[in-house]
Amino acid sequence: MSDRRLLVVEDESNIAEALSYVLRRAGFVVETVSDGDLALQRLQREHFAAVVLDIMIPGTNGFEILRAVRADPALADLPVLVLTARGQAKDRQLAEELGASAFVTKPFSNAEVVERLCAFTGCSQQES
Amino acid sequence: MLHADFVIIICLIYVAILFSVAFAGDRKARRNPGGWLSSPLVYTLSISIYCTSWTFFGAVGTAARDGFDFAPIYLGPVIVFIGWWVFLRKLVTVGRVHQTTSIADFISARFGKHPGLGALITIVALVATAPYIALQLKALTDSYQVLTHPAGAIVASSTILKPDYSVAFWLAAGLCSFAIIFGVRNLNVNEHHHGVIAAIAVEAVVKLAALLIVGLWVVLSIRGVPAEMFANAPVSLMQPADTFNVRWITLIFLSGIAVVCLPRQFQVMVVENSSERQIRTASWLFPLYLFLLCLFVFPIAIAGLNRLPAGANPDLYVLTLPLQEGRPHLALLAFIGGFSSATSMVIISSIALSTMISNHLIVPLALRFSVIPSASTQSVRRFILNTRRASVIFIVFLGFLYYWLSGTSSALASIGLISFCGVAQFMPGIISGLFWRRASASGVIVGMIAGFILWAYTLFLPSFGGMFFMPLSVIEGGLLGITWLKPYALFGLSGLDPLVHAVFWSLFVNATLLIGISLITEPTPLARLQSALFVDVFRRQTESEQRIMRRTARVADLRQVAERILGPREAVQLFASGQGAKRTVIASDDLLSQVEQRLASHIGAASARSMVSRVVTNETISVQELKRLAGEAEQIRAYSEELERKSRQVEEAAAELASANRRLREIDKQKDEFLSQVSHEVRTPMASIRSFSDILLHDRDMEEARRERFLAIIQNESIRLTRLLDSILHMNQMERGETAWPLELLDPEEALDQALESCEALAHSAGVRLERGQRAGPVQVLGDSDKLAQVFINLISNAIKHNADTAPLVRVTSAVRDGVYEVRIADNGPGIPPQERELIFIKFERGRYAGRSGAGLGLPISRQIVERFGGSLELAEDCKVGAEFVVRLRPVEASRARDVGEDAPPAAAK
Amino acid sequence: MSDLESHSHGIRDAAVVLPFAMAALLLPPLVLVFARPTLVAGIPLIILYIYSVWALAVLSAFLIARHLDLRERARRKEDAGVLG
Repeated sequence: MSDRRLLVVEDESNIAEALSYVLRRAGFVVETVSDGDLALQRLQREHFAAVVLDIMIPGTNGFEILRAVRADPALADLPVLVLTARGQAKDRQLAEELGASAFVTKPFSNAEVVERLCAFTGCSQQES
Repeated sequence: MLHADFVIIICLIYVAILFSVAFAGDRKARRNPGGWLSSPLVYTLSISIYCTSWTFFGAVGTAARDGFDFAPIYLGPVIVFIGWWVFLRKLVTVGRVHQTTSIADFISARFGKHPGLGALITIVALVATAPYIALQLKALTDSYQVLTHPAGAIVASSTILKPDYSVAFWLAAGLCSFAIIFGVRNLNVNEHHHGVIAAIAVEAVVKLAALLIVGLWVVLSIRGVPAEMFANAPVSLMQPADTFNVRWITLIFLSGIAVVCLPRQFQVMVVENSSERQIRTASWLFPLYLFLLCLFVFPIAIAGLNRLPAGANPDLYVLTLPLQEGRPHLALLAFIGGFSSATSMVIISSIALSTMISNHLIVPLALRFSVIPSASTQSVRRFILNTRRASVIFIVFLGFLYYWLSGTSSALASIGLISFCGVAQFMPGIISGLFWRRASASGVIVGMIAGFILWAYTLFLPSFGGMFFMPLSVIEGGLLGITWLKPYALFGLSGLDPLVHAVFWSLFVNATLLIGISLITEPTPLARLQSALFVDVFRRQTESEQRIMRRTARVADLRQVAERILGPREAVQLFASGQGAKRTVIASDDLLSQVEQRLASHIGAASARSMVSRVVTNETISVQELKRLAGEAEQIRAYSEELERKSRQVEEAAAELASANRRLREIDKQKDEFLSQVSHEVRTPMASIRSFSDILLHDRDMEEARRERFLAIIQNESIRLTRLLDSILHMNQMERGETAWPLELLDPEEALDQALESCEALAHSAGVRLERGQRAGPVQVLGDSDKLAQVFINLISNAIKHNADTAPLVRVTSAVRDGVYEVRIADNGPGIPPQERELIFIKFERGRYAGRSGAGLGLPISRQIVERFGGSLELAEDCKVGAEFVVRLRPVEASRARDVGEDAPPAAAK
Repeated sequence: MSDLESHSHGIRDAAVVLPFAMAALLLPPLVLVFARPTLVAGIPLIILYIYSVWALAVLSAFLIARHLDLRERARRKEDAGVLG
């Protein structure tokens, strides 16, 4: 089960709740965290199959977290789905340069998020 | 005695001859403009109108009384003419090149086509000339009366005759008609009055011949050796040293000036001039004419003294001497000579003055008050011609009136020199205009007015001997009894001849003021241009205004103006040739200048300019061209000034551009950030809404409680979204100052309570302790309670949301401190870095702190609201932990509160 | 050409000097030298003096004008020659 464990880094409680609900129904184990510093700590300490990462969060922001993740050899292969309201081209570009596995803008389609994460974690998508 | 009818018939025949000469001259000139009529001889003879009947009869009289005192009147002009290369040449050339119509036109054109200056000169000339015309009428009447006196001329000349005004009246009427018929036929002054000039030339020959014949007869009839003759000569001739005093110098100086400045002299010398050849010949021929005219002055004077009874009037010796010797026909010839000199002077003076009056007084006034008829093109021309005709009559009859009023008084005797001194006030203007670029219109005007007033006060008014305007008490004791204001001893300068005294003061003050004021005033661009054109007339005769003035006007408008003044035929010609032929709507500079020049030769430069300016839509004078015209030293100076100014301007413009660029870039950046921010802020609630609605759509079998919770979230997020959009609009309105909520009295504590209540739930869910500290008592401020509550909510919820402390705390206190109501909202969160302290209040600037509250608009909007209530919102400076926001409002005092409460509506703030 | 030029300069200078010379001769103190009660051939000296100065001025002006006239004609002829 450990490879179905996800970390959702999202400070908007409503979005975090929606994501948790959807991802749990898709069979993931979801942990949420609303602060950047905390998120980085947990990533370095625990193992997750993938990360859903917001950019604008208190503490270390999403881009910084991504950079730190890719710099850490242990986490270099961790799939990271960047989920952000910053939809400008330059944000997408920056995310890709930093090594984001996927880039999804808010508002997002639940199905797309689930699909992407399934692709990363190698699960067959369950019908909701 | 000669019979009156006989004399009248001879006069009429003479006048008829003059008429036919004038008529023939006009016809000939029309057929062949370059013929003998514009020969240097005729030109020179016309200049001899300088010798009026005053000099014709008076020279002998003065010689008989005071010896050489008569000569300076002629020697001054002789010096000016033989020195033509220095001064006259330039004056005449400028007048010719600029098609000057009169002395007033000349000076006003030089000083920026100043209309006021033209009017001033006209008035001065009129005041100085009218008595002079009276003098001619008197000379004519006297000589006629003496010639026809029943008791014999000798008796008549020894007694004081009662002037026969009917003779003077008919003379005046005759002179008017001659001047009108031959002098005011054409609008274009520059087309030259060939007919009149021809007649004047004939008269010049006649008067010289008359005097020469009488002189020769006297010399030939001399019996005995010269020594015997001079035995009876005036003392001043035999002991001449006293003659050559200050008065001698002054008279030479003054008459030299007058031969240029008298309006009639300017008319024949400058206006009627058509080539340099004319003035070159006149330079020696006119002095020769004067020489011949004066040759027999002494013989006649001395013969008169020797042969006529002691009481006979020396001024009439020329007339009475032949009669005494039984030569009535010689006397008649002398009479015709005097008649010629008087009539030619009156005719030319009236023509010159009528042009000045119409061009510088009537046309400008008519233009100003729009009374020029505009019905047809003919009516304008007729209007101007009629004003000229009326002016001629006005001038001549002003002279008549003057003669009639002054009557037998001796006031007229000295009027010639008084008149000279009056018109001499133009001289500083002319000389400075021709030679001094810096001379300005204000300098000339002020100098001339001062000179004119001094002339009137020290010479003209006292000459009436207390009969008019100036009572005897003033002449003897000074104005208001102030001794240093005595007209003949101004500022205590006594012991001088009154004429010398007046010439000195008037010209000295005139010239001093001209120079002084010119040095401190800056000429207008047009005046600068004109000064260059006048002063450098020889250097660049080909230069014209066209290259310097940049003007635009509609061809149709210009054409209308031209037709009104020039008449349709000439206007069509003007527009059909050259520039005008092209079918353009906008007139070129060339055409404009051409039209203005043609107009100027009809109605004077100032009026022409004012007429053209009425249709000109845009006028600039090219500074570069102007500079180029200026002399080299001036050019360099002006260039460097211009360069400095330009480079300063360029630098300023560059700096402005750079700062504008910076501002634009900043705004652009702000806009980008704002859009990204707004997009972010909109997307966040949208994300929740979309996600939850997705869930609700797909999970049909969800339990009721959860479904409701999700729906509630969707609803909340929608509300948040709406609020966000509202606040963006609101912000925009506030920026443009469009909101105007009525201000009312309220207790801010109530609004604060309301805000605290609203935030209670938020604080609770965020796990933040919301602490209510010390509170102010009841207080009244002006504002809007909902808005104020909104501000408090914004601040408190910010403090709650951004508090990342492990034991988060938000503390709200209020107090009245130093008469100011103050609310403090403090938290123990991360605080705000110093560099962001002000940024957070700027729209769309988002610090990390301001980051998450409604598009970065919350704080700027709150601040604007509070400022609208006359208060302030800022960050407290000295907080050790977290951030502390302070809202300050000024409480309304109880008494004023009541007032405001009563008339609440007017208190509605803008 | 240069001969004509320098000559014309002399004429111009004379034209400028003439009125000042005349003024000097007619104004005190110079005129006072002749303003004495002396008769020359029965005629007062001062009359002879002033009329002589006057005549001299006319003559000088005439000569200068004639020279300028001739010069202008010469120049015109020259211009015409160049054009022809």
